[in-house]
Amino acid sequence: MQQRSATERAPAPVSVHFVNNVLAAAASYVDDDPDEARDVLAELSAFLSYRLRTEPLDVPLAQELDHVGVYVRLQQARFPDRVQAQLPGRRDAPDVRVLRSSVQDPVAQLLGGRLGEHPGPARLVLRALPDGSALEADVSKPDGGDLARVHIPLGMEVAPT
Amino acid sequence: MTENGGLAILAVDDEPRALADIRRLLEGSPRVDRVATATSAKEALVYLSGGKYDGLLLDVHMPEIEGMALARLLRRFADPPGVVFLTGHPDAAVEAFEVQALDFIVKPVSSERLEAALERVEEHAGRSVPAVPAAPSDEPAATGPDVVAVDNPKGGGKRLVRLEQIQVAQANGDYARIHAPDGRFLLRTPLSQLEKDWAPVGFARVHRAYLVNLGHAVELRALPNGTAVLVMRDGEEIPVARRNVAALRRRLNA
Repeated sequence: MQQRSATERAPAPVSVHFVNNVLAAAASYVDDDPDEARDVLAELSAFLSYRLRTEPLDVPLAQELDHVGVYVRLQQARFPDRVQAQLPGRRDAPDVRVLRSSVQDPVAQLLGGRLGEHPGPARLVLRALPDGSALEADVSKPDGGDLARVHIPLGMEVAPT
Repeated sequence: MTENGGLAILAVDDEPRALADIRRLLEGSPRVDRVATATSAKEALVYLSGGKYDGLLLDVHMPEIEGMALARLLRRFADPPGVVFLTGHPDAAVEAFEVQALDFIVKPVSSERLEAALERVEEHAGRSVPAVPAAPSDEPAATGPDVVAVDNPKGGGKRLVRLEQIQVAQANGDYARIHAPDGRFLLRTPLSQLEKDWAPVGFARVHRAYLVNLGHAVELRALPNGTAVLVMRDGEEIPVARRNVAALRRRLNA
């Protein structure tokens, strides 16, 4: 297992741009789909609650994957026709603990970057490697073109500070 | 400006939901007559080459051509529209003013904040709208019809009601229910349209569901939760949404 100090592994700051744009999307649903507006706000609340907590530093991978799912649904609320996602289920997640947001941060960088820089739909596929040592996140066009991949090692321990 | 004297606005944002929200707000503004939307700078250029717009509401960050680059390009136009930036990035304000943007709004946008930006667009377009609309009088309004035809609940057909007699229009699905001294009548027009049509004769939207003839209001009463009620001559109390309280207080000098 690799080790990092708590200061080295701090999650990326919550993006003000992301939060403001999710709120703008929620506002857009208020009149024509109030239930959707409420759901977007509830998802944003869950997202921020998870991200703003500082303890515990590490969480079960399944919990982190739930957080990735929330992030993806918020992006889908912003871009309803542009984001396709395939995420591993809880049963498929290796039974390890990971640092909080250590999966969502690189996924956000990959998917957010694609949506911000390229028009058209994007497909995110997140899967665990067979040996359970890492996750791989792919972002591409729906037909698999323009593939970008990020490798996310699992099972880091937090060194005492 | 359009033939009706209102603003023509082009809103540009690659986020469809945010764009839908801005469109809804613009369509509800009494200052705006025509709204077009584009999801990219390229599409915006097509609109701009095909028609005149007073204002461009422009997202800063978009794929391919960013909003700031489009704003710089527009400065080469002979008669460019006034640019108002919309963004989730508060840090981009300095750059926005370097390209002489009229305003810079952080999303999500409140209707009050949008109106302030549209006022700047009006000034840029050479049109000034009085802050306080003319009070209703016995004379017919110069800018619109002074009567409306409403459904007559007795015997069917239509009945004519003078605008000055209408105290309140209340949203009723896609229609509006108007409150007049001799009864309440259904008007087959959405409240958002009435807001535009009747703003010049002293009506104001005080709540999502209420458009009020300010000439019939006698008191603005603040409530502890930040909202307010507007008391009418006949004692009816109309709720005022929190976001409308400050603007209404200014209009009434209350």
